[in-house]
Amino acid sequence: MTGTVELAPQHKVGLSLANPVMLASGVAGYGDIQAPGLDLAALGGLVTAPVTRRPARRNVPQIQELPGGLFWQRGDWNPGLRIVLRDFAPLWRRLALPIIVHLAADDPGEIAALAGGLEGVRSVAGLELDAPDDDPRLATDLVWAARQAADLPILVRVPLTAGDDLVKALLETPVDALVVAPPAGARIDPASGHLVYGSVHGAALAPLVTARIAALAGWVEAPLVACGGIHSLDDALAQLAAGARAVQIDTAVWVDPSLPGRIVAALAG
Amino acid sequence: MVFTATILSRSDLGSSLAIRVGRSEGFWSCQPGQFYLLRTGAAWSPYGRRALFPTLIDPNELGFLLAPSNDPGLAWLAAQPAGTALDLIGPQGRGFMLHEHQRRILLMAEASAVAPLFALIPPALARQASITLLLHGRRRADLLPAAALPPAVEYYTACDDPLPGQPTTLDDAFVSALNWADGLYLAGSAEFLRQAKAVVTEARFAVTSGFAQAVAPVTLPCGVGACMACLVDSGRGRHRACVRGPVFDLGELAL
Repeated sequence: MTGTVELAPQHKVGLSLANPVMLASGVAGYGDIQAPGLDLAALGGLVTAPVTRRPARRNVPQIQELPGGLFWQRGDWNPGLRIVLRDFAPLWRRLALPIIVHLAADDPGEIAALAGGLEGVRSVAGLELDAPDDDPRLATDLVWAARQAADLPILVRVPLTAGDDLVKALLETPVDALVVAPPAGARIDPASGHLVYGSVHGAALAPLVTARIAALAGWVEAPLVACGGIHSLDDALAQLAAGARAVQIDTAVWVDPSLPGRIVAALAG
Repeated sequence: MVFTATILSRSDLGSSLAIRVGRSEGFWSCQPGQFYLLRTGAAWSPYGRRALFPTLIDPNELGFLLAPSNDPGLAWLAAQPAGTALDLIGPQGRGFMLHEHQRRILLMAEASAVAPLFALIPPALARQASITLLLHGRRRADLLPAAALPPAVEYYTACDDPLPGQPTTLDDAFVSALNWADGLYLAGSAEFLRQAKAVVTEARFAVTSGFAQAVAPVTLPCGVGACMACLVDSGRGRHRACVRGPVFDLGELAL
């Protein structure tokens, strides 16, 4: 079941992974998070933490634990594209695995600026961006903006909660692969009492993501990547069997850092 | 480092639980104020690892102190019998810097957060330092019994439900001890540290660099620097407490 995986077969350069196991955006920083027990070199690919065009320091991420998972309000805290490239591009070259940079913006102009800033960076193998689940028009504008600014393969995260309309709209763009991503959620912030929005992560998501992958695999020709709920080899096998070409492991890696390596080894065996 | 340790013993310390764990390869290079990440059970609920500050750092043993808590992860640990294997990662972060010149060490904490200060006591005593511990508990029952401390440690307490004649705050003892101490180490909530910083500033005109260190009052969800949920503001910018801390110079911490 292992072996080279192509996530951008329609792209002139492509996005080839040595195996189908990736780390999701934000769980290993910009590749600088060397959690004990986590072997980045074993992975098929790494998606970086979100990057904005300029430094963003207003919204600090928050995490609230849920039964069997957690709620992650990512905020926008990051040093901005210039500093990310200065500090981490040399590391990406050394890591010797495909690095996919996650672009954080909901404005086509910002996405274009980010994508343009990454075009030509030798260690960057692809771009990933978030599709807003309630605005297919904006989602497609973001993809077109990225494509016009850079010739890198583009992965788009589609929340589990998004409907088929969004997927159909994205398939009309030059998107290279769709990532079925953890669902959006909202919680009351215990400190402020206000409603805050984020994403939901945990083991219970695995069958939901598997079902969504299976449903999409029936009519979506673009490669599908499953992100969410993978906490065991069986979870990964199910999502790959359902039609995912690759999987992204997310918060499980904080609890069980050797999980990705064990899955890679099991798939190879 | 990821490793397995075994619970060697459990004992009650007031309303807290002291746990000692052992590992055949030993625990190298852990500093007071650093922490370990404990996986709480083989299943995924409770989900995240819990940051545990050792109270005892011995070549072959680590000690942990579990204050009363509603946290399901700590409740899991508290329920485990001797012989249970624990999945640990660490040590993580940067701990306290026990300066060579310091000979009069003042420790002050809230009872629920005192654990990291405990680990400072043996190395400070080994340097012939005098040590005073000031401890505040919300309940009298939360205060550690004096027998939990080496006899050389001077120990003062306060709580919100004191016996007649006992204090509800540490203010007087703190101000008095500040005139004596040449090193201050703190652990507690943001409000606790904010008040302490204000008292230090008033008593000493400023919180001079190197005099006072504090454990940042944040949770450490991932513990490896990825989730960014433990960011703290300091005079030098915003830092991940699990990487740059969790111990910071009190003067740097924006509280």
